[in-house]
Amino acid sequence: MSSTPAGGPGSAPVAEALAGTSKSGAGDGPILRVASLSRQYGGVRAVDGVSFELLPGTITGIIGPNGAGKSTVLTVVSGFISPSAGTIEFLGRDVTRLPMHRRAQMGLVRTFQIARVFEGLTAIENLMVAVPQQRSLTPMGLLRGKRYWRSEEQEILERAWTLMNTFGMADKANEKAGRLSGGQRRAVEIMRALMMRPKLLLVDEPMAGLNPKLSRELEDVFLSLREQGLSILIIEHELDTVERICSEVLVMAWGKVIARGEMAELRTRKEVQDAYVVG
Amino acid sequence: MANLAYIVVIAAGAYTYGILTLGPDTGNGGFQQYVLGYRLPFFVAVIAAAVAGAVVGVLIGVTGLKRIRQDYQAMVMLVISIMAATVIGAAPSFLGGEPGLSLIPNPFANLSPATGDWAYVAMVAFACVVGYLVMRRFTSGPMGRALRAMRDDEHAAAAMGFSIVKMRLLTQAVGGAFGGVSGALLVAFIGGWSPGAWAYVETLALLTAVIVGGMGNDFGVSLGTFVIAVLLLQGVQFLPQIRSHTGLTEAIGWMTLGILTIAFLWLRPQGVFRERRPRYGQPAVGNAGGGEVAEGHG
Repeated sequence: MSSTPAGGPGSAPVAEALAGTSKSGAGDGPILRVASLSRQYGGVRAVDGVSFELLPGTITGIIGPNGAGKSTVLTVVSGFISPSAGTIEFLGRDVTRLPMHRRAQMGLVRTFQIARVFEGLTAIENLMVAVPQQRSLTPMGLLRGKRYWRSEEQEILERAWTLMNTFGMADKANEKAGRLSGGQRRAVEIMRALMMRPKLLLVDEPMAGLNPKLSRELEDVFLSLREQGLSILIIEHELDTVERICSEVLVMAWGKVIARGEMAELRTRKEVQDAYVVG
Repeated sequence: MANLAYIVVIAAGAYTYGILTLGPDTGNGGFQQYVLGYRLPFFVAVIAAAVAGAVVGVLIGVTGLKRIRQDYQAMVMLVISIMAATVIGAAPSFLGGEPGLSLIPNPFANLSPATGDWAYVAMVAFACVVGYLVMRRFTSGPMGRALRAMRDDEHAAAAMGFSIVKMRLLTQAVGGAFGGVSGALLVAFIGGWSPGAWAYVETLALLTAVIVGGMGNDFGVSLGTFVIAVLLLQGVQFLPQIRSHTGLTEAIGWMTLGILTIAFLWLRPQGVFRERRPRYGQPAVGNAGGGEVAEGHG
């Protein structure tokens, strides 16, 4: 996001870039249903009986003081770690015991609190690798070589370039990701997630380390994604951002959801204020 | 992840070749015991060695599936390497124990020694070329990209939908098959194999070859292997021997290897040939022929 093109990432090009991004496929029901989720580390309950639902085409925020259990919820939902108790349903299917890569293949895609790019690959390769079920990765693809997967590779490359242009990172496309700045890494990670045509995107503090201008551009991206039908679960400390983009907000403290609703209304609630002051 | 047990798959290939070609009886007073007593053709035994290497590679790979840090996994591999040599050495009725197997037949034994040696060189060179081309299928293109992504960050790769278990076992199987073939080719030439031939220090020689040549660069690794395993470790035997210090020249080879490892890790950790990535051009609108514009080694 070093040299944003005219229109910025939040405008028309996003629709083109995400032309293949899947609608939720969940019908009118919730895309994600989390019930009584708990995660215990020894004697510490990092997450304690959390329940919520996400509707298709919505952006839901999770806020709360440090140590509230927000990232643990996201980590458990993504499949990175298992819950101690509770269930997770995605697209109406119980995925509680599914490993992370299987959930990702279903369209449940996460980014990390500290952007994790593949440092030895170039920025555009980071995007191109994020299409895991490619023909080239099958035994037939290995046996038959380029002729078997060239056209698919071309399509992947075109999609990757569209996103690179959309995020204003065309000039960094062939640079190794390990040399990118924090904001650029964050952008690469989000683009990489979008390459997977997710149905639900889990993002952990995406605005951390970004300057205000980039943050606003990223907000526009998320809003455009929502318009495309994508659901987003976002953890964010910038409450103004949360207020601008999230239709519903969960407030967590001490591993529990202590309040939920719209951000403007939550700001006035005493238990929320107490959680931030005490928590 | 550094596979410090790679010498074990080479050993598996060497033993497999040995026991499948030695025949039913020593004819030399029964000084060594054969497990199966087969006398299979050379190429059949080499294929069997590849399969054995792949199987052993996968078994070793299974131990690395536990979520532990990569440096600890490397230590696990090293311990496996030491344990395997110790166990085989302690079981003389299985694969000959410490003395190992000897009189393993050379496929060119019916030629004159000089002709046979050169024929062997030609065959190994051909195997290297084929091996390099096969390896390029895995390390270049989308598969290479996926493997490099997994190397850089396994968790992020899993979050992208890659099965780390599957990918790891695949690499172990393919690497194991290559190791098995190399073990078979080696033992068919030198004619004998014992635990002393596959001590863990041999793995360090392979590791040095990768560090010197350049990690993530096929050409660099091939060159590193030639320089370290052939020119250095085999070349020292052509140095003049010092009568008062038997074995000094061989020790010089190993010392040089250690110094090279430290020097490269300090001064040029990317190796002689650094990992290069292809550059992708932006496809023109409606131009299906755009795309990759330059392929780097790697």
